[in-house]
Amino acid sequence: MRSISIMTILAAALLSWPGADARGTEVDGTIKLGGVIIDEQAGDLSAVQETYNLEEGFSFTQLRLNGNFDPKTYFSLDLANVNLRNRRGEVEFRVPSLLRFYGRYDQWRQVFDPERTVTSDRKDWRFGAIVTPKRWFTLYADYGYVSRAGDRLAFPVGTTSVFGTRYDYALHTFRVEGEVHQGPRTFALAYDHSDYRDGLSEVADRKGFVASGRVFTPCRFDERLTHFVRAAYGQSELDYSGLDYTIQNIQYTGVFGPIYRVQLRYSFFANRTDDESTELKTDDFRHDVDATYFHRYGSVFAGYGYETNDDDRSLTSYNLYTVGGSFNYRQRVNAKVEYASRNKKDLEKLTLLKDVEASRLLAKLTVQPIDRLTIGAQAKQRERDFPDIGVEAEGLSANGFARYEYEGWGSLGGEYTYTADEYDDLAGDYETESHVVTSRVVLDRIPGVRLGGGLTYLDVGKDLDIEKSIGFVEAEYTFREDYHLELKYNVYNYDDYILLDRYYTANIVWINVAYDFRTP
Amino acid sequence: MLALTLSRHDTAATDYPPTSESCVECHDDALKSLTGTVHAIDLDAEKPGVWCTSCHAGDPDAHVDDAEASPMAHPARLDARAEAAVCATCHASSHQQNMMEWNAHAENAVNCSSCHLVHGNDNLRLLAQREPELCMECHPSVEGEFSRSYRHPVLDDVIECSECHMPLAERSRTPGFRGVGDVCFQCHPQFRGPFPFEHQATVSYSTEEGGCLNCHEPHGSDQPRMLKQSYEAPHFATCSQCHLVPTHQFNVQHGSQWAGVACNQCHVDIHGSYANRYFLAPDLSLQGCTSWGCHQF
Repeated sequence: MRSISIMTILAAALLSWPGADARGTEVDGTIKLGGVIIDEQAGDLSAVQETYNLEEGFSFTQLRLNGNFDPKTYFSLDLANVNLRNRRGEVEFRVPSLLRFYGRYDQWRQVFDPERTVTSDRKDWRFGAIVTPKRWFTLYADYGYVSRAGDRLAFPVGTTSVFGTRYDYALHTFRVEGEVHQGPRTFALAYDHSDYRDGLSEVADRKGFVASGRVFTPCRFDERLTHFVRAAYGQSELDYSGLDYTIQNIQYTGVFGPIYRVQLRYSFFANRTDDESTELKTDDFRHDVDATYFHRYGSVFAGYGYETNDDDRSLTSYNLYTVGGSFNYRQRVNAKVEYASRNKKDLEKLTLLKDVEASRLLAKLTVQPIDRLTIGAQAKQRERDFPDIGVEAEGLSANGFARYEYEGWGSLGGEYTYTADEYDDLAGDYETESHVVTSRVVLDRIPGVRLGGGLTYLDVGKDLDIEKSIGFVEAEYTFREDYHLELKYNVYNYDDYILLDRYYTANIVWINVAYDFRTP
Repeated sequence: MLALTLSRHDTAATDYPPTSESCVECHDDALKSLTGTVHAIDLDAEKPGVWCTSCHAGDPDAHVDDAEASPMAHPARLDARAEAAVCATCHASSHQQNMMEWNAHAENAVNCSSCHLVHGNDNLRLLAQREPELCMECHPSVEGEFSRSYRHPVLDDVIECSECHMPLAERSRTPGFRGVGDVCFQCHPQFRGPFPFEHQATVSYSTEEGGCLNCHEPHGSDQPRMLKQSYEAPHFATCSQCHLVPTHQFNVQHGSQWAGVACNQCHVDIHGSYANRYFLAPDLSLQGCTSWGCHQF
């Protein structure tokens, strides 16, 4: 509550902005109040993550404000689940072309045990501003605060960890960036700072910074060529031991368009990481080139990359290939085929994994035969082999979907995804196969009434045996123009047929009344 | 976004209010639809800001005379690169630069207006829809991934797709420090390091192909802790995918007492340790395990 109170105070501060001339102020908004009814039957209350933050009882579901003080000053505030443990909010204030201030808050409870007694809460704050005092200069500033507190269980249960059985940490981050534009050129300098404090273990406290710069400019001699250069220097240090590591990197990307339909691109990346703990200086160099031919009906592209990684102890190199094409016809047909591979060579055979061969083949097709109907399909095959240590992993994913909209009636949509993953090493193998169906229907046919429903069903087989489903129906009735009655019913079901105690069923009903208001 | 033709338009400097005032005579709804956004047109401004012709190229005088014969350009109807060039006239931040480097959306004919609607939109960042619905329009299989047993709370409006997938955009916290894993450390800072004893699998600069994604499935998994492989007896595939250590998995000297015991029963802090180079629990030395024989380090 305290967090949202701060958000509300901020909103009030915005409303008292000097520009808030009562005569020019216009506000519209929504206030939504209601309640939640929960009926659970479970052997494991941690089985369905979607229910971790639901609470039975009264709910201050939403407060939304949107408006302007005069024609040039705008604000918005959106608070959700104000009295619940998954409360969140966003606030924004903006003067177009001069200032934008934003703030955001959310929190989330994680549940670890079947009784839902071992939990931790994560809270996330963000504030920032973007100021453009001159057309050629923009200043960005951003502050973030993430904290986590509560209990935890080691995984698997029964093991121990020096992290203990509790969370109590906070991360503060701050970023400031100045960006200068001059014609088509951009130059920016940024500074990032982070500070991590662990309330349970001072040896984990650390702070770090990254100072970086970037330049973006067309070539002085040929504007068909654009240069992009970025460089960074950073350090992260443990307070207790003084141990640190540093990074230094520089990146260049050049994009050249000799003719409009052709684009050539070259990227270079060099990075050094100096890690006191491993006593290794790791140098990473990457070169990537690619070419794309654009046609009004699609594109064809191909690329090659070469990378070396040298940490004084071992030297590895990588070859990367990609080739593919896309086809687009009047936004009615979109198709894409792409193959990519990445092969690692351990030149001295000193790394643990030694050589690695990885590849991916992707094909997708989306068709819109009529304006109201979209149909699509996608398939992806992945392989990853570690020939020297006898490990193979491969996965297949195939997906199909359809959406249909009929004005005045509503919409209907659904998708099906099949995945199969297989993993083998010298000790054993592991296989899973899953079917996932999601669907949703919305009916707008009756004036003032909106009806919806849907289902998510997941079936995981082979070495696992899990079924999970979430079904919902919802209805919204608008009366007296500005009032809305909302009803929503969800049923959650989870069954693990191997871990038999891990089952969960819940029937949950939300009832809300919303009122839309606006200044005359 | 492709940035081949990032030469800034001159129109913003030359198109003074009279031109936009002419536009408004027929397109006053278009003017109103920009109210409150960064593209709001201020006809009373003394200095040039954003005008209609900043985005809609063409000959405004000829268009006024005969709109059909001399249409003005509509950026959203241009191809991805051409529209990007119009937007990049003013927008050349790290977001646009990232799009230039990776290019994935442009290659698939996804232009700026596929995600950002300029007119009639008061959503944050002028997004056409809120995330994640916007992203899932084109990436439908991802919704199923976020429905698995262990998943990031994206469908719960706690995390947005762009927080991970556009790490240099304004919502980012910690760019460029520790490779791909930086995205993860925004919310899981306890694993960020440095650790006095690093696990090479967790650092993305490592010659061992390190990084969080070696072990974890970021969208969702049916394994606890969003692991990619099972972490169960007898061979704990999460670890054995890299560490097939005969003296451990098949060591008769440990006898049945240790058969099927989880790796992190002894190697407690596999993300990195403050105490031991093998991430071993401090109490093992008290038991004498590391004082003599095969574990005398």
